[in-house]
Amino acid sequence: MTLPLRAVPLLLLTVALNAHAQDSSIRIGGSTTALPIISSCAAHFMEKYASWDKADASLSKDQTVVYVTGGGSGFGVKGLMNGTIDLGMVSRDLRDSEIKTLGGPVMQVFARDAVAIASNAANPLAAKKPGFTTAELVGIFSGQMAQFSQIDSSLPAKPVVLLTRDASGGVTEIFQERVMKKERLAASRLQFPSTAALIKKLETSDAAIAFVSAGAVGQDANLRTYSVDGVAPTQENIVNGSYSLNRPMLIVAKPNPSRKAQLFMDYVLGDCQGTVKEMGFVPVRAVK
Amino acid sequence: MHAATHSDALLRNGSLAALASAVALLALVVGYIVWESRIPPADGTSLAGFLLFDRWDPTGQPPLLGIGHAWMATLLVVGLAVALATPLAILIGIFLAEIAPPAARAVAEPTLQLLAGVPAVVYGFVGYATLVPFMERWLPTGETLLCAAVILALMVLPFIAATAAESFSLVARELRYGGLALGVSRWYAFSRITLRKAAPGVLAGVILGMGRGLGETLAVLMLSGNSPLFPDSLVSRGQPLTALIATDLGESAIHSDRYYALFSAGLMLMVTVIAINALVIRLKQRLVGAERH
Repeated sequence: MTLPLRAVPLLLLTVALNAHAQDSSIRIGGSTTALPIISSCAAHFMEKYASWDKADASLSKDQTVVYVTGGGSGFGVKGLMNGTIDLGMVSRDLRDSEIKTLGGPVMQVFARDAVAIASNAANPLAAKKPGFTTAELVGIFSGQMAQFSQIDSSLPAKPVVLLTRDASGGVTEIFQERVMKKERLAASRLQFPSTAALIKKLETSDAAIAFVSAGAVGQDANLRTYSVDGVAPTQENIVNGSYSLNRPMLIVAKPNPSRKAQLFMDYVLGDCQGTVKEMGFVPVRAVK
Repeated sequence: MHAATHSDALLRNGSLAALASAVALLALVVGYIVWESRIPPADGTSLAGFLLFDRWDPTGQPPLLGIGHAWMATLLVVGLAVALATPLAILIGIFLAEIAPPAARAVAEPTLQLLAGVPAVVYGFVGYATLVPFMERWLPTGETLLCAAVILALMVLPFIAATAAESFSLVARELRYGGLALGVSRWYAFSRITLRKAAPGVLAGVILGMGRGLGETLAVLMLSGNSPLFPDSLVSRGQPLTALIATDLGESAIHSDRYYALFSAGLMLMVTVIAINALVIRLKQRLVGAERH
């Protein structure tokens, strides 16, 4: 009785996947931090190669179509596993279990980003503190320092509002691993489904503080970032590794990716590096 | 003659097949949820911990899988939303059925139906752009259970109001005119005859609204803060059950403890909705029964 019950959704999925395979498009999904970069690259790619045969003569004359969606780094891996997408965007290192399940995926670091501690420029902390120590960050984000007065005694006893990505965000995992370690994130935190939604809230709330992609914050004049243990999240410090909360941004494919997927990956590591830099992230190859 | 019987049989068998497949599909969905649920969800967790006492922190060490905070948020949001919407909906129903001229009714009734069809994300976004900043004048964040409940009240209002208006206008005219002919006031006739007669229908509308409220996900996710916090007041943030499932299911590996916990949460939500509906059907039967004597 249990077998047919489970077979039905599987069957439906298989049908859906076969429909995909015949498509002339490639599908990309995952990290919402990487989303604006890869969307822009995809637009340039489609502009440059109107049909697939222009990118590679052995391919068909079908129109080049690259779909890019978000979903979070978690989806970037999960979607790849179940075949929903051809390429995954992941803003953290892959876990061993994920690499095993994917059977040795093709992984390319196409940019580096930092996890920055950020707030609105009008936040009371902005005038008082150039940065935080790791211990302070643990206190703030675990909820033990819930009032501004507990962070700096000259500030009022107003509640600090913590913003985080939901568990699907790559930053959450890195922050838990490298800063919080055994401590738990405060239950009172607001969870956002995308980096863009979080930044929008950060812009409007003077009491809010967040850990978020440095590249995404760097674009925004209303926001400021803080140093961690005395090191600021600048491009130099991210490249030379002295800013400890840095992370790779990966584009991932299953083993033996299709020619089309491979072409796009090469493009991201080539022409697209300029876009990476323009958007405030750190490119991994010299920009032409 | 021959052709007629043939098409009759076709219609009968066709509709029977459609019904059977719909029921089978429903059974499949329910069966799948039951099959994928584990209560309590993992070794080392207890039923009381899962339902009431544990925090929700599946990525912490050790992982904690409690959904008590989500139950509390769901109950507070839906309870307040229905409590806010029901009196207003009954007033709208009275207006439409008793007071409004036919022209006003002709505009108002389709409008209510249209409102019921507005997608949740639109309500959520409107709430996010208006109510959240408004509440931030007094509160650290505008995202609160209160905020979610106010917008949810707007969302369930058309359901309750439309059902109430329909129930009022369905009360037989002879009964109402009979009452009025005895010389009672219009209010007396309404409260003692129409309202009583229509009560089961109004109640059905309230339950319909409650059902929609319990299942509503996107708007409450946007407006409640989506904080896995055990709410201690209505201006506290929270994470209703539906928001918890939507937020975390994408990140939980199939057949992991977290996955089982989320399916169990879904199962309990489903059982709750079914139980409420069953209760209403019984209540309605009793009310209708009492009316006959």
